[in-house]
Amino acid sequence: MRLIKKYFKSLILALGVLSCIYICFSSISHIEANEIHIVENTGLAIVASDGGDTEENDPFIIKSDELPYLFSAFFITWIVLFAYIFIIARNRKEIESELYTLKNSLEENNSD
Amino acid sequence: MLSRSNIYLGFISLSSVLMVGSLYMSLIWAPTEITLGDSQRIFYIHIPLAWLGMLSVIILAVFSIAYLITRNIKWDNLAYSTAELGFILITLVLVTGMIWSKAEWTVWWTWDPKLTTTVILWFIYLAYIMLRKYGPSDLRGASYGAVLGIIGAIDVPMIYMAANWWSSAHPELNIGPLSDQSSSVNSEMMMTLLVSLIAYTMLYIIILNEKYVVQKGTNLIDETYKKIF
Repeated sequence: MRLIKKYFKSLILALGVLSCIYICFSSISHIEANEIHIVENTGLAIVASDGGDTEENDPFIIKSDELPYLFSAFFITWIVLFAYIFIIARNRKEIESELYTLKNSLEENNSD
Repeated sequence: MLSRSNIYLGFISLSSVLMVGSLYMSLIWAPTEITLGDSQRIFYIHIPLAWLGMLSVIILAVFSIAYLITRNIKWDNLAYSTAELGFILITLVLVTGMIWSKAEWTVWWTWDPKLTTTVILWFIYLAYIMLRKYGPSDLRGASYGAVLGIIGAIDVPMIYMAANWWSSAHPELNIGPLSDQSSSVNSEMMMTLLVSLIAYTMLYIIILNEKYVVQKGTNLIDETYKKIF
């Protein structure tokens, strides 16, 4: 059970670090996308890397308004999984101590 | 030496590494889908949860059949553990699906065939857990639960094929053995999905094992008290 706790601690840490990296990365990409549109407004043609030339096909554009949805999905999932693991860990601890008490009392009764 | 605990330790370590890799790939490495944008990355958590939620009910049915044949309480403990975990997973599938639906379809919920059949599965799990918690506590409860678990597995092919059988807002199958091979997913996205599927499946095995140990211990205590009093 200690191992599982360590596993989840490392996952929380990894998730936090990845979230920070991703937010920074997305902000930079968004700034780059805005710069591209500034150039586009001056009349220069911008061709997206996949060959498309419309705004919809531009892979540089990141819809930043979708990030809260993405993070809430990951966040809720991990919170629920952590809570469930926590409950299982607590129940296991209680059962182990109850089994220990039961075993001791049975041994005492047998010796008497 | 390859003892059982060392193998389990290795399994947990590998699972942990794969999970970190899966999170990195899902949030950073995988390319952003052109039309769906960043919300498409919910796919890398939604699909593994759905796969495990549906797998759980199939495993539940297998354990239930094993229990009805052998009457060994071990199978019932495994079935109950699987049902509880499956319920959590299907709840998460519905929640992540609703969030994705709000981002893409601008509504939290729609009575789409896939969503409806998934809600039916959620109710099957709920019914199973309620039956076991509030139904007969003796072996009859285990038998009733086993029958419900077997019936519940019928819903899985309906969820899987819902988008193909009925008019649905979900895309038709584009991954899996019954998918249309012409509409294949980008290779980097597919790789990310595969890593996520393996990582979440390993986590599922670990949680199921822990839950089974707790369930077995609870039954052992109950049996001991019954014998004493």
